[in-house]
Amino acid sequence: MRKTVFTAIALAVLLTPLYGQTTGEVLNQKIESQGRASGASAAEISEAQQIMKNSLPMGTLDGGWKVVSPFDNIHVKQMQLPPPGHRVTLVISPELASYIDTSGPRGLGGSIRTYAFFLGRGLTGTMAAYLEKYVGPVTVLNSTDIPRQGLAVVPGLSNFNYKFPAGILSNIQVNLDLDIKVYWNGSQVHSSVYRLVKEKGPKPFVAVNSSPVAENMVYLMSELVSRSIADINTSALASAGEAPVILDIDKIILATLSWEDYQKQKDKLTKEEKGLVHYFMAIDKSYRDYDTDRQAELLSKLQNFVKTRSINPASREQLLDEIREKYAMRETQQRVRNEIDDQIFNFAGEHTETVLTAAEIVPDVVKVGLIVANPIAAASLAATMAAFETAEGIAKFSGAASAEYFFGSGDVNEALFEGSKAFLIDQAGGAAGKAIGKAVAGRLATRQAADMAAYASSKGYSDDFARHVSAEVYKKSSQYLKEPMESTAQLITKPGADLSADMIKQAYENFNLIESRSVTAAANPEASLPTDTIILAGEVK
Amino acid sequence: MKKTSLILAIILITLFTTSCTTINRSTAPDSTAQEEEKRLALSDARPDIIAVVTAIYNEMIFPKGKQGGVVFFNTKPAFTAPAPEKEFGLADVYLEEDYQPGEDPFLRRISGVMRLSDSSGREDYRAYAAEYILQEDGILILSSAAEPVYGKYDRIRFFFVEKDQLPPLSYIEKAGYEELLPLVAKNASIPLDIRNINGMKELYIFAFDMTKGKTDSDLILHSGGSIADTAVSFGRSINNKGWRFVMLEGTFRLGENADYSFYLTETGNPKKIISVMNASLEH
Repeated sequence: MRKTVFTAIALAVLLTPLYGQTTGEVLNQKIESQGRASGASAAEISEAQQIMKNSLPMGTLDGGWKVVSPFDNIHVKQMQLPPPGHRVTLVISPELASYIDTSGPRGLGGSIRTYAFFLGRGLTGTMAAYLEKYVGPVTVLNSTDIPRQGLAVVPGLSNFNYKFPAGILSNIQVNLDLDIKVYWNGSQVHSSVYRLVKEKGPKPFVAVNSSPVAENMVYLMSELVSRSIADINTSALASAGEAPVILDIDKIILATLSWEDYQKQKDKLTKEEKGLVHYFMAIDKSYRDYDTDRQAELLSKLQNFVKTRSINPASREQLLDEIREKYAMRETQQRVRNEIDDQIFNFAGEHTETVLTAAEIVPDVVKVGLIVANPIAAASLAATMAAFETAEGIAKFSGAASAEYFFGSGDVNEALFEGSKAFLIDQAGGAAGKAIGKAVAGRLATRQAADMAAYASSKGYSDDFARHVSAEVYKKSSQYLKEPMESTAQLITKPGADLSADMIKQAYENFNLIESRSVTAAANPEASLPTDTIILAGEVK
Repeated sequence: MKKTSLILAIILITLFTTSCTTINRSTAPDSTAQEEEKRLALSDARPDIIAVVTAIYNEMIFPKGKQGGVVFFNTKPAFTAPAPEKEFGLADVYLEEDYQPGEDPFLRRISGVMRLSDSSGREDYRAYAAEYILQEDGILILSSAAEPVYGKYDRIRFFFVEKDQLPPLSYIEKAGYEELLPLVAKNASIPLDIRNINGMKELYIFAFDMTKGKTDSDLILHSGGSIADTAVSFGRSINNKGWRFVMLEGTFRLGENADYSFYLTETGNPKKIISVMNASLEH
């Protein structure tokens, strides 16, 4: 019964125009007449009148029916802007400072109430608070005269209107324009209008009530002023400090998609943008590598970059959005990484020998890849091997995987040839190809990256960092080389191996022949020629 | 080597100033980063160094080859001399410098010498220098250069061939380095046999420089003995595009009883000895 009466009365209040009475009087009359018409008792009517009254604050002008927005509180948003450091004067005209809007809402919602929005007071306090936090020490000047020296901000408010679009159960919806003019040494350096368009406050409420309206207006004024503060900050920096860097974040992100994209975009990027591309590529890479420590390190550096550099506010916000997103991705990955680490730990514990063997083979894959890519190197490989004096040396060079071929024969010369051949055949087409499964290589690479990062950290960043990056490229190389290596394995093991063996054999025979049939003249580049020599061939020119 | 490095440095500086890259490279290497030249086995070298040097090598040998894999050139390498012959493979890498030239830890600069060799044991040395950026998808070489190294690594081999083991002089005097080396090596006497000879012997003597030299500088072979030790009927110094050798036909005193030396110098600086060999054939 109470609910029915209340709804009917509320509907009547909304639809009934006012004529020369206070809202309190009108409400009481309406509640009473509507209550009687719907068959409510006197007690029920009185209760409904109390409910309406109790939900509204006590006012001073019309017996408790006025909605007041006094801006007793000030709200200031957190923004990422360069640190303040420029004195600023806030110039508020006396008319603006005392500006109180009592026009009432548009539409019918809440239209029987009276309102008082102390907008001048709210703007002055909010603007002063923002300037103090994001620009520098503020002096509030209650005047229309622009100071001849220094930075001055002159705000203006216009087009204020509001409504309660869904009746008294709704939030307030505000339109308001803020006109900002910035002056430096008396000359205007910036002018812009910032708008709230059908903007709603964050606090919902169930009736047109001073408390939530006032609270929402504090937030709405804060929102409106915040939209201007970045430009004011930029103007301050441009006039009184360094010019902010403008970054094209979209272009940066586009360039980080792949190496080819970077190649296409790099000529269009500024120095700062290229640097950021490097950071983002490194972050993306460490994300793909599940290297969350590295991500944290890079993100921290990026954050530091944002904090310490003067960046155009719009770019700064975009950049921060990207950083936040990367942080979120990292957090998700860290959870997965922990699980994977446990798995790797268990895997390594159970298969120690397998892991170690594969770890030794991975570097050899790169070497073989170089040889596969450039068969000429096979011949020179033999020549290089000939420079080693012992089978142990060759075994070390060509990798432990084929060591047995060298030690088996016991003959160094035989080992030279057999070792060279075995190296090519085994590494390129045989055991290595099979051993480098994607999973094992991936695990090893992850471990290697982690080990190298820890090593670099313990040794000091700069010098050893190259080793870490090198390891990363190493792994990348092995990935690149794995596919062509496998696809050419057949070629290498059959005709390819024969060809390689022939080349090696030829080099080996030539080397042996020359070595055994000639005498090496001793190098003596420092000595001078004796005076009594005879020229046997050639002539002095 | 110092001179070569200087030339490379000038080339690189020129490339840097014309390059559009904005990477900071102003920081000079500190003293600890400067290292003596050292030989890197492929198994010991950092992969990025191998990859960069291999890429420069490939650009020298196959200048029209397709770029791919993990190494990319921002600017093509600068080469100051014709490319090595195609049969020369990359055998060794010597590293002289390896450091981070600026604040960017991804930026590296290296320099050194690469040894190229073919299946007959000839060698061609090229000094190289490169500045590159390490990235997740590979290596971008910002600038690079290579040029020949002459005179530092000369390696002379003497062959002694009995006259009846080779075709007539009228034929071999027209033959070039590549044709003669295998022919001579195949028919040369074993040095121990020569050493055991008592008295004079009619021979061909060949001295091959196994390392590529300047195209405009010829070898000069001197004898420290008398005409009683070396009676030469034919002597010639040949330079086939940097591959140099001398050949002699005559009667020579070699082995235990020989007490003089052969000296090799070259035109341009004929008093400076490249190498010396004792006629006793014992070092």
